[in-house]
Amino acid sequence: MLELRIHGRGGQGVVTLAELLAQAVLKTGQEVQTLPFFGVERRGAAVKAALRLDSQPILVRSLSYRPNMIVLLNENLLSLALSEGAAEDVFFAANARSPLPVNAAQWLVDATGVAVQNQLIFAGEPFINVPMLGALCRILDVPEPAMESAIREQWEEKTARPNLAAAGQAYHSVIKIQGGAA
Amino acid sequence: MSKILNTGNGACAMAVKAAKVDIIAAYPITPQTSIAEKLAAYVAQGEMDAKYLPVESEHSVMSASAAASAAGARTFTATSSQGLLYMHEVLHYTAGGRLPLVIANVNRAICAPWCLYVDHQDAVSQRDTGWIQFFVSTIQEIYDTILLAYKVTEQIEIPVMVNYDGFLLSHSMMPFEPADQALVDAFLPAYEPNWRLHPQWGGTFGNVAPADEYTAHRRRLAEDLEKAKELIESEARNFQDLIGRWHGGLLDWQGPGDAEVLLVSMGSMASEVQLAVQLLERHGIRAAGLRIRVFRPFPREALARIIPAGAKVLVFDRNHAYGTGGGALLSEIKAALYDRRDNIQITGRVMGVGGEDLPASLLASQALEMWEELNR
Amino acid sequence: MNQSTNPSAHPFRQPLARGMTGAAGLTGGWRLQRPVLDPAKCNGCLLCWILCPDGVVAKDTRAIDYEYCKGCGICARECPRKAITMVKESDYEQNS
Repeated sequence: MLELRIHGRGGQGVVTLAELLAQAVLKTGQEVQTLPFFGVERRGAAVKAALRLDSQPILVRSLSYRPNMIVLLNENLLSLALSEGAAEDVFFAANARSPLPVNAAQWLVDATGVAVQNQLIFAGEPFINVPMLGALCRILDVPEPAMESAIREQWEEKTARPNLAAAGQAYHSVIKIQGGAA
Repeated sequence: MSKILNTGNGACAMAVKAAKVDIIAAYPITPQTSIAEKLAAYVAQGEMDAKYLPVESEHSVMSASAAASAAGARTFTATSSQGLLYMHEVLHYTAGGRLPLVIANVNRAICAPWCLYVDHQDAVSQRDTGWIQFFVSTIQEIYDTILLAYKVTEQIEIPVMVNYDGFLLSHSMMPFEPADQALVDAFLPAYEPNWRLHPQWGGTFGNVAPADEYTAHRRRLAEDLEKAKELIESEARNFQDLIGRWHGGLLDWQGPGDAEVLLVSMGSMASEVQLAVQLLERHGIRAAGLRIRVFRPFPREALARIIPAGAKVLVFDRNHAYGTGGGALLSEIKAALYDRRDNIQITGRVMGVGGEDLPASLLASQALEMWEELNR
Repeated sequence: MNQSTNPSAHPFRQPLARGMTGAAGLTGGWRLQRPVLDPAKCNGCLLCWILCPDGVVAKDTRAIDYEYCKGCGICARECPRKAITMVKESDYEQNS
């Protein structure tokens, strides 16, 4: 079983990201589970959701303590995420332009830049969850058509178009590096 | 039909739609609200031929539901926690009134202090209302049990409460397979009530009864709850024959058939218990999960039959039975097995109250502790 | 519930009842005042028959069933011809 824990801030669409990713993963024939963590719901507060993938039905019904993968919608949530636990061989996926200060494998994508370039902006804030979806689908070997149909099922054509473009751009621009010193 | 992904609440709403419910009365409360929202959307968008009543409180929800059921409508509602407690008076009324009804109760802790997260205190506090109570552990089981609940309630004329854990099932997404509408219709045909309140019937419902009639009426409810066990099992088998899925009848043995250590639980915890059983295997303990799927009527006979002589029974309660030194499930299991008078050992823990998280490692370590206590 | 019915033999499981004469006993004994109809003044409008909460006015003869009349006085109050008079039971007993 692969366990992801996604960290973001209220309003960034963490729950929607987990659900879209789960929809895309389901299309690959794997078992999947999302488990959003619900706390006080307000913009800007740190929020998280777990996502589990497996080849067999998932029996876990508890929160994520030792994820194999930590996903950061904000670089500045790194220390918070680490304080909540991780597997020894955890790797990262982050919305970041420069490497995270951890000695671990990491995937980086400029989700904010991709959102801005595709006009995914609402009330002055870039929507970074769909670019992150693109990057995560690439990292988890989810084929692009599965990712695209998850987006098309979520939004009607006019809204889906810029989201498809942003997800595709992130899918192809996410890079993997071996992290620097912690 | 292929698997789709949805939350527990989404799956519940889909099952209610597939059951072609006529009347939905609801009042919002976390974590139930998204069921009512989805059903309101189905009705507003014309996807469901039903009447949606947005009433002003849970007491009114259950009163409206009672009236709708008495008038012969297939009726649904959903609630959680304080909402269920507020319905309490009318829960007794609907069971005594022998009104077919289905409610989804999304389990949540009760006040005080305020808490949004899961435990079973809300439902367990209703155990003597005369309702049938299911506890389910997967999203597939939510969908299937709503359909089964209608099949049962309309035959035995006792209302049914389908319980599932707040957030862990209500807001978690997992793949499940909806049933083909033609198969649902075959399993659950349109509701033809035996009796309904109607001006042409020309009588009254639920008026004063002297002691002898009251006694006989209430005794009949108690007897019919016992009969409901056989009905639930046979309809679960019919469901399996027609739709192909089985979640256990009244209880569900999960693990090796020769296990002599049994971890008993209800709800989503019972799924995680299966992982705890695997951890115990590493300590050389041959254990199995025993999931209580139907809490009311309590499956006394099935338990007494299934538990082997010399077994160690470890009970996990997500509720307090205040003043008894443990949880409700522990008392029930002890009572159910008392008549056997063999050397079964039973102990329990109250865990997971107010959303305390229950990973397999914690369940296994507590099971190990209890096992050692019993060996002392 | 219908007093003549044994609930466990009842065809329905619901707590049901049908109205029947005298289910609560002879309620005429509750009466303090007795409605007395003067047939000479009555024009047969049947308002008393419609309004009587206990259904004790006969539709054809307008005779009042004093076994069950509780003496509420609605008939006397509403009669457009003032054909019904409320008489104290004690006075009535003395006069008759």
